[in-house]
Amino acid sequence: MNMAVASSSSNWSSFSTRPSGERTDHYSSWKISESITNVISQMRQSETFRRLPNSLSEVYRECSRADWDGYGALAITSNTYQEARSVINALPLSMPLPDIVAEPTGEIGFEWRKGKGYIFVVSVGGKYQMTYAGLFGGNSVHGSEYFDRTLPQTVIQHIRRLYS
Amino acid sequence: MQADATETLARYIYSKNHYKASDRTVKYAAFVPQKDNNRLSVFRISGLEENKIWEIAKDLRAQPLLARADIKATSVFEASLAIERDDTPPGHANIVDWPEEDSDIKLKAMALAERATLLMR
Repeated sequence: MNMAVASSSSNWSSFSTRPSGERTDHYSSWKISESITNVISQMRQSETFRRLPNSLSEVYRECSRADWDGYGALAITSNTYQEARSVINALPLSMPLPDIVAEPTGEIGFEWRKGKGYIFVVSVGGKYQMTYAGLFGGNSVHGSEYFDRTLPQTVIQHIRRLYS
Repeated sequence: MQADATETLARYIYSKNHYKASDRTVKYAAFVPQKDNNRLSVFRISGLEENKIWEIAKDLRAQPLLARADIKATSVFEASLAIERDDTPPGHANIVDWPEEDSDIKLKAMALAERATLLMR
């Protein structure tokens, strides 16, 4: 049996099983799916990947009251915090980990930085919307996408572009 | 009144979330303007002594001053933004003319942060 393992929980559609001679029933498919889910879950528990939820919790703790930046910043709400957690869960494991940044608008941003002039940011504010912006040397992009637990392909492509 | 392109501006930082000490970079969020008035508060610091520059912001906010991001006025103009001097308090100005779209604001804030120099308190 051949398997293509998705690198992310957001990419389950690319997961496939292909029987080669042997009969595959629903039970064995379910077992395989469960095994892979367990592997991904274990990977997300790794030291490196645990850094993100910890960092997010710290940002939320520091910025959940108004004026946390001294300039009248809006507080980060629990809705925004929960949505940021969904972003972390949707991140492909194969991608570099971002820095988590609190924005004065009350949004939480995820920042990937390759070097000077090469940076990509995506942020959420608890409204099922992702706002993104990127600098790729002399080129730039910005826009927004609907977000509901699955990372939009546009966003994935831009992050890949940053590290290509 | 506008500022001169050769001037240096300081954006004072009161949140440790807005810079990264390990690689001495300024986070874009330090340059995102306030949502209610779309202005970014800065100070014109050209010609001032270093200790005076820190002195300006020491008691301005309730939070302790942690760092500052210095940026040339010309970088602001290159981002198609403007600087409006109000000198209240003396030396104060606002970076204005931000676009309406949130993602576009973010992009300009990133461009400013990339050109800024981080100085730790």
